[in-house]
Amino acid sequence: MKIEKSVNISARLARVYQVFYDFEHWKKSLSDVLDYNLYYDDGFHQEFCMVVARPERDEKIKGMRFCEPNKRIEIFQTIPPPQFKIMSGCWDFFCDENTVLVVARRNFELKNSMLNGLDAESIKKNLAMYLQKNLNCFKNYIEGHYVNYYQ
Amino acid sequence: MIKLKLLEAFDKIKIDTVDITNGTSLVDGLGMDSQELIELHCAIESVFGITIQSDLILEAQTFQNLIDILSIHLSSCNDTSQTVQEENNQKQIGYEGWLERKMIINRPAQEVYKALHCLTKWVTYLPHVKKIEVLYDDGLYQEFIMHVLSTDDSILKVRSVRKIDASNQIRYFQPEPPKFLKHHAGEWEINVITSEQTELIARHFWNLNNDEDSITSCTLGITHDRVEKILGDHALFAMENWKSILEGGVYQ
Repeated sequence: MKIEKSVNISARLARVYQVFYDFEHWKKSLSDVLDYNLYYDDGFHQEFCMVVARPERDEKIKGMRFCEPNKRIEIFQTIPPPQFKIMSGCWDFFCDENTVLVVARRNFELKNSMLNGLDAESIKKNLAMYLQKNLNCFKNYIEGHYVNYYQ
Repeated sequence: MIKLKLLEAFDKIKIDTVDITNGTSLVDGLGMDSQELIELHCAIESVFGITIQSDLILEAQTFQNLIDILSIHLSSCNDTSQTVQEENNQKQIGYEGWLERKMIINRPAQEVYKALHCLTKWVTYLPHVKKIEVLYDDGLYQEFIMHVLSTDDSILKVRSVRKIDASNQIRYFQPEPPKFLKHHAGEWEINVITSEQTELIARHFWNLNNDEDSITSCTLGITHDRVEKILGDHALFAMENWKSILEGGVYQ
């Protein structure tokens, strides 16, 4: 299943890209990101592990990223979230003068047709909402409006 | 090279970089204050001939941070429709060393692509590959460990991550490169010449390992020329193998 969300950010392309690329900015802009380890980073490829706060327990996200500077970041989780077979996606960056359109896509596959009593469409809706929330957090962080959506 | 130009920028503002390493802290290691960081920003813009947001430089903690920031910034482009050559130029800017080797294979491009794609068949056709452990494969991205016979008859385990997107490129990187390298990545490019002839290109990109606390390329006497020879020979060996297998009609 696929989802797509987008946001316009008023900042220079290099700055927007840098925030999505550098996990240190993730910790500052997304309050559910507790910690991360970057095992490999050559500017174009990354291997990482991130700990995020979840209602039930903290979740470890282990993944890889393929990066095209100022253009695209692709991500896949080598260990998908519980109950998911696949979790991957990308961010694409499109520049128009001083505004950057960030388009986030996620591609996922469930192990079973239901998850915690929710069907695939409900899960898709929840993930889409979460994806948009994260994009808005990045926007606010980059544009300098520090609003914590997770409080 | 980015490092050399960065050192030039430091020299411009009279900061002593004699003992600098990639991990050197700008504040604690070089003793820079906020005014000097601002001056460094101006010096970088002057030496590189670029305009870059000051906070990107002011937020840098170490010399390596500056290299990383400039690597990304120098490849920035408002035109998103980049050619493969422009993308390669980016990589050449971002890595200290790179090489390219080409070979013509007298078989259709889709056969060459399939052979490179289907890594579980490599054990059958490539004598130096003893085992492939697939850790992840969703059809687009793969992570695997390849057990290869080394020149001294020992088995070398190489973990790779690949992206296979049905274009004419297969990109990969090694999260745990050989000890003399800090970074190692590469790509295969498969170009149609005719319906029965394919140009296969192998590219490698790398940064030497200069970290103080590990076995470094310097310790091992490894230079860029030596790395180019090692990886270049390996690329040609792999391509000659595939040429022989595919043109010999044995691949199924």
